Amino acid sequence: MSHTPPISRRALLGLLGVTAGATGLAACTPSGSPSGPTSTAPLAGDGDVTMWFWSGAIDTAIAEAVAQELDGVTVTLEEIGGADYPTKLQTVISGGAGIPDIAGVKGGVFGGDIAQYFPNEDRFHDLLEFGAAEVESNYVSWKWQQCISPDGKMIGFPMDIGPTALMYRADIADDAGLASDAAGVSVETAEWEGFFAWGEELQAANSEVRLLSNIGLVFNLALGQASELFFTTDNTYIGDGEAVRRAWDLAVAAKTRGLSADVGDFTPEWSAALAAGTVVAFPGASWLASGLKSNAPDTEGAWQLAPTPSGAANLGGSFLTVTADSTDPQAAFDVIRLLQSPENQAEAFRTQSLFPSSPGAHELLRDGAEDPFFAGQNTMEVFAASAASKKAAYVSPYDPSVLPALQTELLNVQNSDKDPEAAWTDAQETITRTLQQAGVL
Amino acid sequence: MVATPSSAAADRSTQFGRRLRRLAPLYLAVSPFYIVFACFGAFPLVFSLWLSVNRWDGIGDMEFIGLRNFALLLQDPVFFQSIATTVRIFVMATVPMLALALFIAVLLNSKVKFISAYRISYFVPSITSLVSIAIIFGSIFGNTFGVMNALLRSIGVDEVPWLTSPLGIQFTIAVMMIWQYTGYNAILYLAGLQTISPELYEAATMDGANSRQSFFHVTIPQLRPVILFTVVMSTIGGLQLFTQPQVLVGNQGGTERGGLTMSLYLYNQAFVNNNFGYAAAIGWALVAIVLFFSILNYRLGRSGDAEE
Repeated sequence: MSHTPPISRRALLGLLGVTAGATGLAACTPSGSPSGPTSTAPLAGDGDVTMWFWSGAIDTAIAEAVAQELDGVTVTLEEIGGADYPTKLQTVISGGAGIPDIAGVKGGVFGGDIAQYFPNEDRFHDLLEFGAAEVESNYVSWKWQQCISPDGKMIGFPMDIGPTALMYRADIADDAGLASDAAGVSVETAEWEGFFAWGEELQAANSEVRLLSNIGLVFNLALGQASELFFTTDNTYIGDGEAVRRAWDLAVAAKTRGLSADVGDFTPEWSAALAAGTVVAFPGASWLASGLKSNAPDTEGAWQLAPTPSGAANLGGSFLTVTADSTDPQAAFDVIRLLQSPENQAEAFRTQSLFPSSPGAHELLRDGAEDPFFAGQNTMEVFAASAASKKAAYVSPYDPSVLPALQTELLNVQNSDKDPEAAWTDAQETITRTLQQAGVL
Repeated sequence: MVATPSSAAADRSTQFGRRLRRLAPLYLAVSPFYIVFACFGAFPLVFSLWLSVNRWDGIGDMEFIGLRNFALLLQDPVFFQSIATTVRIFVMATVPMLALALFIAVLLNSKVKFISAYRISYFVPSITSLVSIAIIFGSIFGNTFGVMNALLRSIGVDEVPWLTSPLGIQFTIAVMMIWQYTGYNAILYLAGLQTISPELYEAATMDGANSRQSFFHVTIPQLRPVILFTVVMSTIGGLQLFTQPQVLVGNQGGTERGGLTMSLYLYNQAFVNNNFGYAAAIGWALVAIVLFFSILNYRLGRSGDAEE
C-alpha cells in the first residue's frame, strides 16, 4: 500500500487559488511590459544563456561543446518543434515573458524573416556592441548585410545559407546530343537566354521531357540575383521596377517557350516527375540536392552541377539573434560567435547539412567534397563560388507579404494561361492593397 | 430605533461578507472553468475585437485606426473571393456528405455479420490526421502521375487539372471532406435511427406503406433533430475550413486562389503578412457570416416544425 502524506484541504485550495490567479494574470496581460529599458546597463551577466532553435537548425553536440569551452557560461538548449516556430518566437517576444537569450530566426525565401523584425529592432541587442565587427570578414558580405537594419543595428548573426546552382540530368542532355558535361553546359547556360535555348534544343530532341519543373523558381532565382528587390532602404516600393520586372519576364518566357512541366516544388507530382526523369534541370539552392537524392536515389551519377544562369542567388538560410531581454547579452553573443566560427559551421555542415555562410568553412570542406550523386563533381566548389559571388540586396520587412502576390499570379500564368500583362497588373494591385492593409502606403 | 443610512450600508456589507464567505468554496469549486474560459475564450474574443480597430505587426506598438480595417476589407476582392470559395466548397461537400451518411447509417442499422467492424471502419477516417490525408489526396489527384487521371485516361476521358484549376482544387477538397466526415455523420444518424421505435414502422407497414414511403414519412421526420444538428455542425466546420486547402495547395490557395478559404486568408494576413489587426477584422466578418448561416439553418429547421 502506498502511503501518501495527507494534504490539508485548505492548503490544496490555497494552491489552486494561487496557480489559477497566476495563470489568469499571466495569460490575460495583453502586450506585456515594454522590455527595451530592462537591459540598458551591461550588468555583470549571470552566464545563463537559453537558446531557442527549431529542429535541425543547429547541431546540439556542437552547442554543448561550445558551452564547455566558455568559462562561466551555461547554455540551455530548447528545441522548439514545428513549422510554427516563427509564430512561437513572435508570441513570447510580444508577450514579454519566457523570452530566450538567443533566438534562431528563419531566413524565408530571400531572408525576409529577419527583416520582419526590423520595425521592432529594439527587442534585440545590436551585436556590433559586443564585438561582432571583429569577425565580419569571416562571412559572406551579402549575408552579413541582411543582419543589419536600415538604422545600422545588427540584430542577427549569419548562420547557414542556401547558395544556388543549376542541377541537371547530364545523361538526358547527352542522349539528346547536347553539351552535357559541367564545363560545356556552364558555357551554354551562362545566361538565362542560353539556358532556355539549350532547353528548347533538348525538348526538340526528346519530346518526353521538360526543361523546368515550374516557372516560379525562375522568378525566385532571377530576382535573387538582382541587387535590389521590392523596397529601397527608406521603404519606398520599387517592386514594379526594373529588377522585379526582369525576373517576371524571364519566368513568363519560360512558360511561353513551353519549357515548364508545371509542377509545384516538393509536391507528389514533383517527386514523380523527378523519379521518372521527365524534368531535366533544377536550378535551386544547395539544400535542394538532398531533395533530389531522397526522391530519385536511382539517378545517382546521372546529375551534374553548373553555375546558376546569369549569376548566383540564394534561397533560405537562417540567423541567430540576442534578444533585448537577455540577462547576459555578452555571454549570449560569445556563444553565437563561437558556435558560428568557421570550424563549427564546417562541422554543422558535416552533421546537419547546414551550408556555411563562412568562406573559411567552405575552404575546410573543399577536400573530399566530391559527390557521387553528381558524378563525382566537387559540389562544395560550385556552391562556395555561388555564395561568394552573390550580390547584396536590401530585404525589407514587407518582402514576405509582397512576394506571394507575384508568385500567385505567375501560377495563374502557368496553370490557367492567364494573360501575363493582366497578371502583372493584378499582382501590382494586390500588392498595393496589401501595403495599404499593412499601413505602408 | 432609526437606522442611519450608514449603518444600513454597513449591515448590508457585513451581510454580503457573510454570504460571500459561505459561498466562497462553491465559487472556488466552479471557478476553474470560468478562469480557463476567461483566459482562452472571453479574453481572446474581446482582444480580437480591439485588435480589429488597430494596426499591429504582432510585436510593436498598436496603432488605433478606427474602422479602417473594415473599410479596407469591404474593398478587398480577395476577401470576397474567399467567401465565395468557402461557400462553394461547403455546398459541394456538405450536401453529398449528409445524403451519403444517411444512406450508410440505414445500412449500418441492418442486421449483418461483423456490423461493428463496418461501423468502426466508417468512423476511422474522421480520426485520421488531416495532414496525412491531404498528402495522400494530393498524390491521388496529381495531374500527370495521379491515380485519378490514370483512371480517366484508361477509360478514354481527358485528364482533369485537379490541383491546378480553381474548380478542381475545390472539388478535391470537397471529396476529401466527404471521405473524412461521412462516417462521423453516419454514426450520428445511426444513433438517431436506433431511438426510433419499431412500432412506428410496424404501424406504417400495417397502413400499407412500402419501405420507400416509411423512409420518407417515418425515418426522416423522426431524425430531424439529428439532421439539423449535423447540418449546423457541418456549416460551422465547413465555413472554418483551413487545414485541407493549406496542406493541399499552400498558404496562398494555389492557382487563381482556388483553395483560399476565409480562414486561410485570415491566417495569411496574420502569420504571413503580420497584419494582425486586419486579420482580426476578417475574423469578425467570419463570425458574422457563420452567424448568418446558423440563423438560416435554425429558421429552416423551425419552418419545418410549423408545417407539421
